[in-house]
Amino acid sequence: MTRSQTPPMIRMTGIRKAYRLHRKLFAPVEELVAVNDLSLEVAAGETVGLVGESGCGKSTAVSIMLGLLKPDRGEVEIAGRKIGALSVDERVRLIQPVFQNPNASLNPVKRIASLIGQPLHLHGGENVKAEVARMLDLVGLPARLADAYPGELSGGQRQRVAIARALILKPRVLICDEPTSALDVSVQAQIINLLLSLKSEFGLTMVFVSHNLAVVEHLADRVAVMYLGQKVEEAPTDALFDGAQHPYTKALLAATLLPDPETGMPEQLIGAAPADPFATYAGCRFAPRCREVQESCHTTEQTLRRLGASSVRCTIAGQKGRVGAAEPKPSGCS
Amino acid sequence: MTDMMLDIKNLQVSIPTDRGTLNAVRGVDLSISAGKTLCLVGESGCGKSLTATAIIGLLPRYAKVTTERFAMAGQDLTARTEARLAKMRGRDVAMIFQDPTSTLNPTLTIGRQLTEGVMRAERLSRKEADARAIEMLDRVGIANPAARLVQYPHGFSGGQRQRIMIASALMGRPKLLIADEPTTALDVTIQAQILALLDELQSDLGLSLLLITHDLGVVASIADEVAVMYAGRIAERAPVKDLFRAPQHPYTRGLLAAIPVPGQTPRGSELPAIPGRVPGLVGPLKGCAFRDRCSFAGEICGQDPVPGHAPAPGRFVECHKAAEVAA
Ligand SMILES: Nc1ncnc2c1ncn2[C@@H]1O[C@H](COP(=O)(O)OP(=O)(O)OP(=O)(O)O)[C@@H](O)[C@H]1O
Ligand SMILES: Nc1ncnc2c1ncn2[C@@H]1O[C@H](COP(=O)(O)OP(=O)(O)OP(=O)(O)O)[C@@H](O)[C@H]1O
Ligand code: SF4
Ligand SMILES: [Mg+2]
Ligand SMILES: [Mg+2]
Repeated sequence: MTRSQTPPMIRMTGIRKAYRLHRKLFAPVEELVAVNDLSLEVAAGETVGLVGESGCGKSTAVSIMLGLLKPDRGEVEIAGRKIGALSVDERVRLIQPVFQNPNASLNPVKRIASLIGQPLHLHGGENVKAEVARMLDLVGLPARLADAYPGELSGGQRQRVAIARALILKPRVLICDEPTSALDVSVQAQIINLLLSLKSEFGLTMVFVSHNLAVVEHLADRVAVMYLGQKVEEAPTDALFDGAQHPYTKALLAATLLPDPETGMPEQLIGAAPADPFATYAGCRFAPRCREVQESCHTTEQTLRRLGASSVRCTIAGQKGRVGAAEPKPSGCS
Repeated sequence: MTDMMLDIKNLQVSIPTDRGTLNAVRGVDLSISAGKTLCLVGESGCGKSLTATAIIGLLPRYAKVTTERFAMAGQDLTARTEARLAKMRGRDVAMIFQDPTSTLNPTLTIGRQLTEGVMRAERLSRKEADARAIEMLDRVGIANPAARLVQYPHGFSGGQRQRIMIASALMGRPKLLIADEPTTALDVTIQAQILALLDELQSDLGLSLLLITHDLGVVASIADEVAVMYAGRIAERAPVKDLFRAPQHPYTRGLLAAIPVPGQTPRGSELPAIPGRVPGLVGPLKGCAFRDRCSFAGEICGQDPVPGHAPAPGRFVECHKAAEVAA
């Protein structure tokens, strides 16, 4: 590969992943398409936020990115190399995860130093002790905690241990799946500050999955929005938060709660009928719940297209004289 | 005080550990009027879930619980007998637990799990119980509820399981609902739906709500009152608007400052986190538990007791320097 065309750090193309399951005892096997035709590129040093409804396929996509789950279709390349062609050793040195629940991923009977050092140990690193000390310092944990057990640490400290463990192999990519949602806001701020400094000091590439849009807005350079297994919008962070194009993105932003008791209950710009991952759709998957739906939406297969700085999976987006979704609704707060 | 749905004074919970007794809840007072919502916020590990679990009487046996006063749904439970609490669970008071995956039984269908309690407690027929389960699942936004009664928990996403837990807690039409982080695993549109549902239930059924959350946006939108907990005690309590407008405990101030606010906090800027960490709660603690991290702290803060103040009606703050902080 020539230098002039550095490949993106992560490139996912046309990923599809279905889970096969029995919905009822003795019923035939059905497919639940968790991720459908997902393409995503993340440049070196970039942070991409991944947001969307619970159950829309974010964790599935992330597992595929990490090489932990095999897609039915599509390619994943990390730093220009197909993920299947990487050895486990090469893979874990390139890309590492941080998951939501640090308690579940930290063995309670192991000491902190051995937990952090374990990946290095497993993958034949040297100077484990010195490296562990360096990691403790990097994530802002006092050296005396090296001998502690996970149970003696606070939630935020445990999440720092999980990050230290992910970083000890000096990966170039960190994949964070809801890394702060179990933490209080002050600890959340500590973790965000840590991620920001890793990004600026080491040029770490990050994918950040979260339901907290304020955090995503704070951290991400670009944001991808998913709905029922598909990417429905992708845009630079500013463009997305200042001018969302897809009706689902708009509903998501409108539902965000501000820490201000004067604003009351949020506006609901989305039909109450829940998303059904088993249903098949001829047209737009969001149509049954969309406030701006038109007849053609139910029948026209939607594809991603460019609209300003964004890429949007909706033919209605950007049309003039659309049914206003922005008109204020009396809020239902007492 | 007959309109009090919950009234607790000096709740203490201690847990034996191999390093000594952990004094996890160290004298908590809480009260909720009928039909009102109290939100409980605070540092991870400060004792919120233990407080809630103690109220509903489901702490493990080795945990030691004491109260000076404990009344709930019109019953005096100060001399709490587990049997009386057990009778109230599901009917007078119900709880949604923090981790839904551990509280749904993977080997039973959703229908069985939802209906079992009410069939026993209210002697409903299977048909009546199923009808109520369908109504509740529909209310929490589960598509096609009738067909889903026969499914097992693994067939639902994390967010869906959370909604099933909420439906399950509502089955017995409780007067007091305790919800521990009920929307943390949910995206914001479903979160909004759940909050609207709880709001509606409050006006329809006069439900009282004790809601534990880290999300100050949730607090702002649903709370009548807020209690801020730190290291096993209530540091501050106030009506929601007062708390956000004029927080009076240094810890509350730190919490509110730490949230990134869209449009105000510059993107990518360092957030003002509270430095340091909570003190260990094994063994006695002297003075204010927050003082190592507090920018107002002075010598006096090492002294006991830390005084409680009532700066305004309905407000409470426990801090040696309350006057200085408020100024
Ligand atoms: N192992 C599995 N077997 C069957 N279905 C699954 C499995 N894992 C996930 N699913 C289903 O695939 C879909 C996508 O799930 P996924 O966990 O990727 O969603 P998510 O976007 O991460 O949701 P959340 O925000 O709730 O974490 C959901 O409908 C879920 O029920
Ligand atoms: N069964 C138990 N055995 C031993 N220690 C426990 C037990 N349950 C809780 N603790 C400890 O008691 C303290 C309070 O825990 P609790 O779960 O109430 O915190 P929390 O405020 O709900 O935190 P979070 O916001 O992280 O859910 C913590 O230090 C915790 O480690
Ligand atoms: S008592 Fe002292 S240390 Fe504690 S919060 Fe008040 S000023 Fe800070
Ligand atoms: Mg997930
Ligand atoms: Mg808890």
